[in-house]
Amino acid sequence: MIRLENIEKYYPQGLQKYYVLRRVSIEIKEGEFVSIMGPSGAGKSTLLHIIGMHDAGWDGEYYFGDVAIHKMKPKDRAEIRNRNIGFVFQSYHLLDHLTVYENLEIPLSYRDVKKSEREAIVGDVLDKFNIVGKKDLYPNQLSGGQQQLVGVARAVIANPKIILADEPTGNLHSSQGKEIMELFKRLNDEGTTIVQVTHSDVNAAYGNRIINLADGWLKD
Amino acid sequence: METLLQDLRFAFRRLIKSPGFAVVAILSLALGIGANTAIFSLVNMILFRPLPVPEAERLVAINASGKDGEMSAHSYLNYVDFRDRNEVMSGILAYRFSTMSLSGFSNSSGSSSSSGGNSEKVWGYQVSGNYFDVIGMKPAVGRTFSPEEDKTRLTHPVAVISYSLWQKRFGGNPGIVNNDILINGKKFKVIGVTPAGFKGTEVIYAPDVYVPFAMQRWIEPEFDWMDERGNQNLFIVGRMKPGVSSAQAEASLNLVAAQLAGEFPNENEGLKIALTPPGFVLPQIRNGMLGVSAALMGLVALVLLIACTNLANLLLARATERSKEIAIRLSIGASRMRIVRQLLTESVLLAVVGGLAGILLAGWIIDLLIGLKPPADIPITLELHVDWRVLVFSMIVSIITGVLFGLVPAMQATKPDLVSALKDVVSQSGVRRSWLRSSLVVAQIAVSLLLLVAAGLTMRALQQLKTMNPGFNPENSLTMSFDLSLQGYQTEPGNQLRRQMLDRIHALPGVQAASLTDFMPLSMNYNGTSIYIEGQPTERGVNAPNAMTAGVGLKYFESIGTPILAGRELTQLDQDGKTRSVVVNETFAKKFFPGANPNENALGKRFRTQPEGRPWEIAGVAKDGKYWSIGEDQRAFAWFPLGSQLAFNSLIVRTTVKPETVMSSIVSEIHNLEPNLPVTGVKTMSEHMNLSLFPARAVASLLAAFGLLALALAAIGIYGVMSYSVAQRTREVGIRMALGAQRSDVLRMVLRQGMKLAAIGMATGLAAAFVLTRLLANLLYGVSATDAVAFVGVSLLLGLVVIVACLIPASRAAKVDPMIALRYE
Ligand SMILES: Nc1ncnc2c1ncn2[C@@H]1O[C@H](COP(=O)(O)OP(=O)(O)OP(=O)(O)O)[C@@H](O)[C@H]1O
Ligand SMILES: [Mg+2]
Repeated sequence: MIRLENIEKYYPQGLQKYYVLRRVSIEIKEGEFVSIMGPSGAGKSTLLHIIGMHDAGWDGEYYFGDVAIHKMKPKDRAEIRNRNIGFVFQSYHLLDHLTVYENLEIPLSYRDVKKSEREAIVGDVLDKFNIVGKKDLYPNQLSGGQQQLVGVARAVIANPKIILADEPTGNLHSSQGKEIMELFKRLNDEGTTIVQVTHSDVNAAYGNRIINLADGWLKD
Repeated sequence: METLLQDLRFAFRRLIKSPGFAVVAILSLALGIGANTAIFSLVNMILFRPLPVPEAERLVAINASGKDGEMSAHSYLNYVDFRDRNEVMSGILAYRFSTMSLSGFSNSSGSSSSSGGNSEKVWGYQVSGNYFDVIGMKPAVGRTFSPEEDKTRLTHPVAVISYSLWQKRFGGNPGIVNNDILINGKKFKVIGVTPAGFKGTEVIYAPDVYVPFAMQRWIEPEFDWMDERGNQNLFIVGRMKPGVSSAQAEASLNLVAAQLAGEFPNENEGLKIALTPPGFVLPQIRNGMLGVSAALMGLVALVLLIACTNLANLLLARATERSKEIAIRLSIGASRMRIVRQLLTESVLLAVVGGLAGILLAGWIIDLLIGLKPPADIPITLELHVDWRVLVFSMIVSIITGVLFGLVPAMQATKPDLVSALKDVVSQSGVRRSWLRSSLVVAQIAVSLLLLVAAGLTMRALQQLKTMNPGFNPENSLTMSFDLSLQGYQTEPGNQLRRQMLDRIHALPGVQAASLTDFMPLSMNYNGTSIYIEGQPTERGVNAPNAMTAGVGLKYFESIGTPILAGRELTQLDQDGKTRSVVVNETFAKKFFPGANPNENALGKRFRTQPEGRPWEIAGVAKDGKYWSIGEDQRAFAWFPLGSQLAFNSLIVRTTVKPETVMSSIVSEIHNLEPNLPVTGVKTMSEHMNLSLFPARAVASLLAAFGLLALALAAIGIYGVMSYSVAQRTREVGIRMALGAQRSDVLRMVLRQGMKLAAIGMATGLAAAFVLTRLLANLLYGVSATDAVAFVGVSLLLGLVVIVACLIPASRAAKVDPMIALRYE
């Protein structure tokens, strides 16, 4: 489903280049649950942003299915991303001044889904995540675990093929973290591909493969 | 005190640290306070600043006030009676505006002055002999008039000249004293020079020559008004005795007025006296100027309000940035008062610095204001100064501004709920604050729209005035003035010369008709007379109905382009005095001969200008026009034969070609006949119209300036708020982009936010304008206060500016890199 060939990423540092990723080649198959691990500063988040097509400043080849992302214009990339990818963030990144319901609606509104359909989809997801009772609350009225639950719900709402999660449990209690990981597992079982960055071996155990990064290099 | 100094030091350091914020705040305030200071200096000149003479508070203008409360001038004989019979004034002076032809200076010691021959028209006063004594002026050199010099007619040809004339024309040579100058071709001895800056009894008129009334016949050879009680053309000013209040003085002078009304009912029936502050000829002029400056003051206060809103908004933004710091201070035990005071110190410091910058700016704006002089040949001086009253005004405004507009942000900032501020979460108070900021922008846009509408309306009014029919045809027509009487011409030779001139001018190619008049319409001239219609009962004295008048020569109506609607023009017989015919205007006919057909009705009717005078017969009725000001209501007007009057002649020429092309040949024809004659005011009639458009143009350009200022300040305001909001929303934008928003979505989102504020503001502003512009009605000459073109045009302009002001922060938002925005984890 995703194939990266010799991805290189650097930041200019004076006249020199500061490499963050070196010749990274990986393949992620449909239905996999992959964990990216490595020490702080290894380039994990960077790699995730490249996969998520937020970052366009890199060299190498990136195939999403049969599509050569590295040859595409940013606008077309955004379209592929919107159709296929959902994000979950370490600090949830819910919008403070919107209710749970409205937060869930955002991705749909950017995908030109009609109002009536949006209602139906959001209703379904609220149901599925068991947060119907919270739909009119604001994020600061929720606990961290509940907020991340909404974060995951928001990631899946547009029905992506793959979910990218950067330390989704980093800010949570272990018990709350467990809840989120089990949620991921369930989504994975239902067919969604999942790529997470994590520091925790426990969390990595939910997945079926680990990619190790150190100083920008792949390690096995 | 010590804490105040400490607060000041802190505030200062903090401002230095964020220069961008300080510059925008200070600049906004400087513009606002500068504009207010400048306009206040105008109000100060009219309302507060006394004449620059000793004990000015005891000087009062003594006005004759008629039945309708309209103030007017006095006759010489009435003046003398008031002067000699009253018991409340230590002295009463009188003055009359006069033009003179000045030439020559025979100085035995030889000087830089010009020698005789080239005459120059100068403006001056004829004054009572006690003029300078009542004012209390000490001459720069020489002396002032002695009592003998205004006692017997034509025995003491003496003059006092102004400092500036002395410098300009006589090189400041002290030898001028006791030397002769030629006024109207007659020798006058200069006895003194006024001190620099002295302007006598008027605020905006600077006379160059003062001559005693006793010499009147040399100054106005053709006019003999001093012995006619009905001829009211002097302005009088008195100095109240110490301890006399102006109410007492007025009551006492009214007793004299009542005596005079009893003794001379034909001229004085109904005469009342009203005392007003001196300096503006008649209270009407002062009140008119006051009305305009009050309106300007109100509008310019709105500009300041907009500027202050910028200040408040910037302070609120800073308060938000500092909410964590303030929360920490509060949590470690600072009192709220203490912190509010510290924040207020900062805003007052900003306001005072802004105020000082504004005062500097005001000096420059005042220069611009002074440049807005009417295009008249009268020596008008606008002495606008930043004096102590203006300084006090500006400083008070600054401090109030600082306290008032600093207080709300300071109260807001010290009221955060501690927990969320410390947790760095967007709290309820943060939300409230951004709501407050938005309302400020809404208010700002509303007020600037109001100002822009006012500006738009006055510009429309100006446009309208330009197309208004003045009752004559300004196209293909030109004018110039000369005064043969000042050149020493007697009646017969003068008349002959004029006939020759007109013949030669008529013979020039491109000239259709030419005529003479002593009254150019729309030139700030007023000639009037009482009207006593034969066979109609009329009131007498001050109560008699009146009409404006002009003396006009042959072919006048053809030359100026005013159609005769009934009857005929004036003929040579009328000019020669063999028949006594006049032409009146439609309003005259309607006023005195109402009925189905007033124009026809009026023909053949007779009236007098004094109860026992010789009658005039109405020979024709001409189309109505504008005579004093272009915006005036229709007035009754009568055209008398100019006859052989040589004074104040204006030539009016109708051309078949562009008037500019024949202008110089006409002037040279005149100079061929009389090389020494000063020919002044040479201009096309269209140029002449500029004078009457001046008030409208001045108001329109001032309001346009206010409007643009308001627009600029509001643009800064909305730009600031949107930039700040975009900066605050960086993370949100990043999230939205990560969730699928395109750059265009983000752009639209920010623009929509800005436009929403603008739309609310504009709706409010339009509603306010709809109600408030009615207050401007008397500046609008025939343009509706709700003129659609002005409202729509201005809204479009403001909308456009708002879009541009939002576009920059919006495109900055669209450039947010989600990777970086989301990195703040
Ligand atoms: N804008 C930038 N300019 C220069 N260097 C950068 C920039 N952004 C990231 N880096 C560097 O790239 C490297 C990789 O960063 P990245 O965020 O991918 O690390 P990470 O593996 O996610 O670390 P952590 O586990 O702490 O989140 C780091 O050394 C970081 O300093
Ligand atoms: Mg990371």
